[in-house]
Amino acid sequence: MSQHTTSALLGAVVMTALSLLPRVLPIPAISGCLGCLFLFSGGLFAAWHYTNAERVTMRSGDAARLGVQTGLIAFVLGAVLLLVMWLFAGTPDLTTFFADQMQKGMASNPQSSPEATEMVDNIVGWIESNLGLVIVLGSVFSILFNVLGSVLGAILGAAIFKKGGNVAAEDTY
Amino acid sequence: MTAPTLDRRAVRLGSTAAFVLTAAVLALVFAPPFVPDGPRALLRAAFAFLCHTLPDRSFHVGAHALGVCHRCTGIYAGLAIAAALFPLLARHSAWLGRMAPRVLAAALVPIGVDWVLGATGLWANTAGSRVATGLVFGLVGGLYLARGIALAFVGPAPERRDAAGGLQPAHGRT
Repeated sequence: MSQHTTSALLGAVVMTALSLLPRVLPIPAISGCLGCLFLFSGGLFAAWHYTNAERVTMRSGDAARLGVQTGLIAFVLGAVLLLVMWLFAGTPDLTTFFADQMQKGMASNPQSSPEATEMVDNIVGWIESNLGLVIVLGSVFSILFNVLGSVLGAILGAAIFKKGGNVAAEDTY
Repeated sequence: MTAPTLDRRAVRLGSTAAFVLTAAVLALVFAPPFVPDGPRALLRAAFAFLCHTLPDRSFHVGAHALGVCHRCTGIYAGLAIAAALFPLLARHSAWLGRMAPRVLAAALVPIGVDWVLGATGLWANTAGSRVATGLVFGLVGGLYLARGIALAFVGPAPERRDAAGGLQPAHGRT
């Protein structure tokens, strides 16, 4: 496994683990205000790990590639995790499982409005008849935000964590 | 030492890719008021992981709030605007690279000041201040996003031949 892939995999694991944190610790500042920071965490960690392992200063272009890889792996990890949770949830019905996860998602953010939580209660029937759309929309949402967050995180990480060669003049235009 | 050349093609591709990505995200942020109850609830549940989504701190269209709060809306809008404007600023790319830690830290100052003063009760932040400070960070983040993606489209620095005609690896490419 290349160093790029190892760093991306570790970044994705960190990102997935941190995204579960609000469920374990429903603290408003963690679940709400700092929630988007978890998106950056995977790319940031991957850039830090790669920089340390290879003793190099990453170029922004390489960081962007590393971020894309991290975001996509995080999406796959998240999907696998959701599948495992479903298998162990003891809920054979996927609709009930998704509705349950959406309610837990809302509940994990103590600042979320009660109307929003109530809204999920009212759409169980809709989820049942649109399960395919729920999966597609959820996947698109997850891929977009994971990739955007990871690329930004990795680019920021490459700018912050520097080791080895000077890349001050890394591009000309 | 061979520095990769950020040519017009790379700038255009980087800017376009960054804009498509950030515009798609911004579309999801703006989607909740315009979609039926089912997808709206799904989007709100997903956004609850990323933002506090407090209704009194979010923009509304009609009776429905956008997916995220004022500040996050500013950030996502700034990302998309900066990605689109990157070609105009690409000639400063090397400077942006050199100054990255300082520029990024400076972009966080307005958000930090607005948030800390609000949290300590010294200043009651407003929707305007939250959007403006988010927008500043988003604009800077968007520039670095587009620049990074543009540099990803630049090919590896060409290998150079040494005095004996042997190929040397390109500097620092990973």
